Amino acid sequence: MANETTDVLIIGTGFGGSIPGYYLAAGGAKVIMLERGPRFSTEDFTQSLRVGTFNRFIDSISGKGIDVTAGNCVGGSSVTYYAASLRAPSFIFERRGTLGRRIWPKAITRSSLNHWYSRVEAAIPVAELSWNDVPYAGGLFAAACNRAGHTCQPVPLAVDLTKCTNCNWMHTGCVFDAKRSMLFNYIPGAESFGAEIRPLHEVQKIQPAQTAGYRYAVSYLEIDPNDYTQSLGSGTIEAKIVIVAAGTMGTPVILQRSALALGGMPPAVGRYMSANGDRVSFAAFDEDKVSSLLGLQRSPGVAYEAFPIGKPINTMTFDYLDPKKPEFSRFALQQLYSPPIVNALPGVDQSPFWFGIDKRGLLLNWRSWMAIVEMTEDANEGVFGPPPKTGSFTRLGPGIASGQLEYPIAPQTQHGFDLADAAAESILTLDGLATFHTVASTNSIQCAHPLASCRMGDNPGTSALDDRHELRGHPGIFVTDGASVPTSLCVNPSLTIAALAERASSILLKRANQYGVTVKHSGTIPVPS
Amino acid sequence: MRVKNKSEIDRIIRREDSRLPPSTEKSLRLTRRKLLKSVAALAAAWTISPWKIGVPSALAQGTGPAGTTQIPASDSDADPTTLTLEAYADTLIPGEKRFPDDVAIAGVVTGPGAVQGGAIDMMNFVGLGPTLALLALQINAAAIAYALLNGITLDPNLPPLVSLNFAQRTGLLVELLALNAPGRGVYSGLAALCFVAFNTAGYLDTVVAIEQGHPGLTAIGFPPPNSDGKWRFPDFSYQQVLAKPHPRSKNGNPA
Repeated sequence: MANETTDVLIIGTGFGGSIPGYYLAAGGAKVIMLERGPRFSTEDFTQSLRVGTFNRFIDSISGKGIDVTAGNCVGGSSVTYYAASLRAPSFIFERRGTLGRRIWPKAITRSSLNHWYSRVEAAIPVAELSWNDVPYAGGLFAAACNRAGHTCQPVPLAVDLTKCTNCNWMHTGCVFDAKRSMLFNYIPGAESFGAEIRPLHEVQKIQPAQTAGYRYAVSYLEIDPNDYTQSLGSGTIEAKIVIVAAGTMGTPVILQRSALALGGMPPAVGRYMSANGDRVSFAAFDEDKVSSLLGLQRSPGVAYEAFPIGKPINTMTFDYLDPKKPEFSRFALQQLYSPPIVNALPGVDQSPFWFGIDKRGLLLNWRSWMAIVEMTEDANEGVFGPPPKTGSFTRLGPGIASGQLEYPIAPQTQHGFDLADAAAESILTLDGLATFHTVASTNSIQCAHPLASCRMGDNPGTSALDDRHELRGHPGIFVTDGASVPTSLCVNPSLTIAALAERASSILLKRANQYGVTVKHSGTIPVPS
Repeated sequence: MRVKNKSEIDRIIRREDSRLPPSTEKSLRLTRRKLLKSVAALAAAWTISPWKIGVPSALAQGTGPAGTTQIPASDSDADPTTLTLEAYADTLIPGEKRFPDDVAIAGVVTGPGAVQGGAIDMMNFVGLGPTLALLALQINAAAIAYALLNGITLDPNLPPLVSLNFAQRTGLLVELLALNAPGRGVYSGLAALCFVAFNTAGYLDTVVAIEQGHPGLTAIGFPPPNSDGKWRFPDFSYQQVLAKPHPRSKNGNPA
């Protein structure tokens, strides 16, 4: 039987897949989007920490030296993210890293990307928070920064503030339709123009097509919705253009597995992975000091005790994003909520550090906690090992997986961590305001923002993609997800991933004819639902 | 309960060997191997007939304070696997004794700990039930080795881990859970389940757990939902300008 065919086959439905899917479908191309995870809508999300609920659509993937959190559903990580939507600082695009030369393509600067940032901000849409929208934890972080002589400001969020109930359950989806994931803009937009989304279809490999006029054949397994380790069938679709947007943890694995069939891969596929310099730490506040030093009171006799209240990300300081500072010494500090499922992480001063009597005492003070994410400049030291037989990693249990990624922390990255830790501690512990707790239960990086595992660049030796997102040596294969972002960003990366996907979509619309796909240029952003 | 298989005993011995510095003299290495083999055999024998086999006097030369604790009547229904895993959980997040003669819980704090938080329920909920006996065996083998190497006398009437006092249990877990310890994965996985049980009641829907007054969620102060079972916080903000923005920022973005 002949294979199914399509103009454009997109692997993945997160930021990187949904955006080109929308524009190419709107331009008239036949678009099929394959998503390895299930499709959930608002009524499927729960406010529950029971194992078997949220981990149906979010995975924790343990590599060597790193634990990565990634979405696994239609909408990808946009369904599980904390919606912080920031433009990357200008200096990021000039980074040289450990290469000693510019890492980003010359064609991409903050200035050139601003146009695409604006489009995404309008399409999602992104909201600017007033101080009245900032929950207690964000306010407390701001007040602590201010008292320590630092600036601090609300973070732009992809949240409909009129629907948000400040319930702090973004990590399990959003039951109030307030979080603006891809499910509310680009995906329904793409489907309105005929794009077909197939959930529970896990792509395994890309190989040459056999049908005249089609360039690539993409093979997949149909995944059992009740057991993601089992498949219910398989198939192959041939396409003229393939867009790989399986996420930073998925894209390089599919390409590695395809190397033999496609006659090799650029050496940068599966190398130079960045954890966005993510570093998580915690503060436990002295409620009396919150009142006496900062003058804060949320109700009579209660200064804070509000860790579980609000939106998970609200305020941050840009004071350490000085473009004049040397590379690997610049970072952002951002206030963060962490659900109690990660309460093993913070350490205490005395052995046994992350468990025992003193740790229990810290747990009992949970409502007075704050988590902080430090986003630094890392050295792109992540490397993917050989791919597993199927899938992107080996599933061990619900939402738990073992991956091939190895992340040996480079001295430059550690230097940034040390500076960021010291800065956060100096702000939060000033005059005994809080105690500061770094992660002690593991020596692995805790990464929610994986990037760069198949990155763009101008140098073929150190980049897998050219500045148009096209995979070197494989015309018609494009990578448009977080894997294409060349370096850590010092801010949450979703808006930059989306802006680059907007830019890539524009390029694809102009070049589709080269690959036998007729599209008319459509410059209209989707209408948010 | 089946006897610990040979490959498992050999694995523990190899692991212990790997902890020795490369410069360790062969004679000392062999002595340690003999000791650990004895430990493993003892652990295996204990699994055949728990409670009835004492530590051989030649091996029980320590001066530890374990004493001669008797099996409490109120724990008589508890199997050694459960007692061992409860002691493991209690060492991670300690709680108060559930009854006066509770031997699994050391009772070093007041209030609930991981045991009351449902650590064993959590282990069963994720499907570990069939392997718990083996996990307890592995922990107890390590406990015997720890006791021997630290001169601690074990109570023959209790599972080895339970026989240790809280400080000793903590010392053992520090070794098992050291960041670079060989075989850490199993122990840290179990520890993660204990933390998830106490901090999230991960074997229950959170609304149900709150309704049931889950000890861990109550202890950390996890807030209750509204009457419809959903969380909302109408009062969520200080509603004050609390800091100045960065002078080069624009619309909340860095320059």
